[in-house]
Amino acid sequence: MEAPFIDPMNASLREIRMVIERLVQWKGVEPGMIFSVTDCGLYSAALGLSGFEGLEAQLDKLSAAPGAMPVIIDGEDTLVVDARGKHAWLIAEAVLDLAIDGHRRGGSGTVSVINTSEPAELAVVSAIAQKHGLSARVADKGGRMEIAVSAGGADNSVLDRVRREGVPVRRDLWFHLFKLSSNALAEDTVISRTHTGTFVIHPDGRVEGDDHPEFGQDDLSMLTAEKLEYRR
Amino acid sequence: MNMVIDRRSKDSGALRSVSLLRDPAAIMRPERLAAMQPSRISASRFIISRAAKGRWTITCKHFKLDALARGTAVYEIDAGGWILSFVVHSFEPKNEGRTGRIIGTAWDMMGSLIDGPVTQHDVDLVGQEMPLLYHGRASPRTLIWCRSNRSGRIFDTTIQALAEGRQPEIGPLNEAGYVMRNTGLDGNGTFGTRSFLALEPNHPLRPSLSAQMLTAYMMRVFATDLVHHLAREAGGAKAVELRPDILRYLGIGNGSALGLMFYVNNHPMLVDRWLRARERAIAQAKLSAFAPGDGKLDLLLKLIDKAIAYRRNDRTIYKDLTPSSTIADDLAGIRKDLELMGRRIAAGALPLVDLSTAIEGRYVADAVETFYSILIELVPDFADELVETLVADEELVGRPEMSVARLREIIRTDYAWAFAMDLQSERAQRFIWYKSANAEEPRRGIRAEAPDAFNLGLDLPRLAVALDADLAEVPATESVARFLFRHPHYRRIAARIQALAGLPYHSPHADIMSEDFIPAHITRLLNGPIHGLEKTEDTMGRVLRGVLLQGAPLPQDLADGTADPYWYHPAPVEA
Repeated sequence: MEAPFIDPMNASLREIRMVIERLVQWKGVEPGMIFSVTDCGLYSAALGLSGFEGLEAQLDKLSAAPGAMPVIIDGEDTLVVDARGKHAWLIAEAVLDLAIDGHRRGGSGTVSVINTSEPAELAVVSAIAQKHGLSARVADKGGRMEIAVSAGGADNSVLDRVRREGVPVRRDLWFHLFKLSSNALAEDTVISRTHTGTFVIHPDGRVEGDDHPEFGQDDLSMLTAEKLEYRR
Repeated sequence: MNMVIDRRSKDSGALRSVSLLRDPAAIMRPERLAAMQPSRISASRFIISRAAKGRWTITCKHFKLDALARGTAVYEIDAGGWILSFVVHSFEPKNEGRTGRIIGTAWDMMGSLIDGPVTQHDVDLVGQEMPLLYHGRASPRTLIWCRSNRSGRIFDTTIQALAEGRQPEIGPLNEAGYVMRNTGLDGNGTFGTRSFLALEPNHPLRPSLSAQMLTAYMMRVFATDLVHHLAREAGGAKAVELRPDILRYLGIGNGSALGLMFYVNNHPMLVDRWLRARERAIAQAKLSAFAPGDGKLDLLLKLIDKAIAYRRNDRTIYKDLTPSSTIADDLAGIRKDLELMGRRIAAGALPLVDLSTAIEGRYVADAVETFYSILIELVPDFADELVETLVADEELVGRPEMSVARLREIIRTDYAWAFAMDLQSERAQRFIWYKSANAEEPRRGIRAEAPDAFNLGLDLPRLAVALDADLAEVPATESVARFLFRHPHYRRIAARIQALAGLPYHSPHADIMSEDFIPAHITRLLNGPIHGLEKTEDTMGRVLRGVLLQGAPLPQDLADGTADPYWYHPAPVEA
């Protein structure tokens, strides 16, 4: 049931990260990369790139990306990353890191990227760079994306704005994504319900825990029901 | 217990204070974290202290409930000129869907803490949206959504007694300690509530957890009004209200479970800052000079006596946690040591440093930590200033240009504890942490029993050790950027380690995947020293039930400026 409330609504930073993180996890991104990819999705929405509207499509492309590892091509004055077909969200932070590394070591803070899918999405690095106190400019050089890092991140970063205002999204789209993200959560079973709580009833009827008088009015059928109805 | 004490030094007090901070290797073990106790630094004590100093006022603007408790109430809080509203929707209790667990679907009360005054439209919106929970949206000015249930032990009997013109039976009341209990406090962006880091710099609830604790206080205010209302409905003119001493004694019940482990994992900056604030306050207090007649010793003895009595009267049965009787006995021992210290000190001496060293290892940790909490009352202004700094940005930012060698140094220093653990045996890897699809309930179980679940637990020691092993395989001068380019699966842990480098108290030294890990220890860290709950009874090693704000001043005490600054550890109510 949806109430006639504000539409579009503003999704909060916490909610956005939670939903996208779950979607990314469900799509099989390896655990150590989940947060990085999540923030790419966050900033894609905040910067008006593919955003929430294009989120499912981006994640489908991302999970279908080829398995070859990207490579660094070191030139005399240049650094090029051949993404070998990897989606932009899978390499954005890695490429930015290389640019920051070069910048802070006194060298060039510029990295070029070739052969990435969804190259326009590399624009998320302009927001990611701000957490390092830096600025990043992304330019399309005709088949080659150039990322250049320089000093001076914005005082009012994209992240600060999202914290204050959230990101606008159509209510029906948001709850669609929210419901989809529950695919990353575990199925509720009678056994899994024994994995927390103070009083559990095992499938064989064995009772474990305390029978505290404070909770004598609790609905114990919730612990043994095959399926719990819940509003989602 | 490692402490560096340089008696010869003429360094400033600040340097000596820093030298007294306890070694993380000694206090970051789960068992020691579980022994820590509430103090002035705790969120609930701090909000009361702030409200008392500012003489906040709480006014009931609207209270319209029927005899079955159905209806709405609105309270306005004037926090030193900053207006907040607490909107309540109250329901007739029902059994179906009722449980203290997150999977519950029925509550006796749902409330919302909102910035600014509210209109009827706001009240209606809360009633429309909040029951939808994950399908509902909080209005943009909302700070917290909350839920609470009546005590199964004393709520009905209390109303019955008041309706008959008498006070309720004291025994059950002393044992329960509350008439309503919290079953959910959500904010910081959940359901669209305001993000706390976006609160204005002068917002009265800017220090972490302040909004939640004020909401818990308002639950207590409503609980009182509800009990009185229902007693009047039942008894008419004959009904009486609870005595003020009973009202002060009653707190708000609380249950906490596995979700707090996720909280600790996701808030390492805040955990470090909170524990460092506690340690700094304790260290500063230890440097207190004593002089005859300055009242400090009398204050310490008075507070220890209160703590002893509180523990002696505590009938809670603890399973893995230290019994209150043992803590009371050891506090009595510490009291004797303190008295002896008091008879021997010379003017201007710093005897608490010696005493603190002497009591470690002689008494149970819970008693020692209780004493340390009491010491903080010697430096109240210093402690209160520290709490104001408890606003932490949890963005973990890596350093791409850092060398592999430097990152290994950090790992070997900050995670030395991880290398000493058994991370290989089956027993050490038996459990998985996850959330259920219905109600997003945090759960921890044997992996084989949740085969399709994604692990959400932070496997910190294994990640640190594995990262170090792979770093050892690359040139020491290589940048972390280039290492992570070829090892992207380490991106998150590397950033975490780099961002938290050098912070002493950010993560428990624990393997949470192990069968030997007791989640209740970490829940206790949050519930006790950070939230300020007392009587935190553990069940099945994973759930803690306790009481918050027991003994706290009433709204009239806050407004009048008569609030007792040492309201905690209240004596049982007398008949």
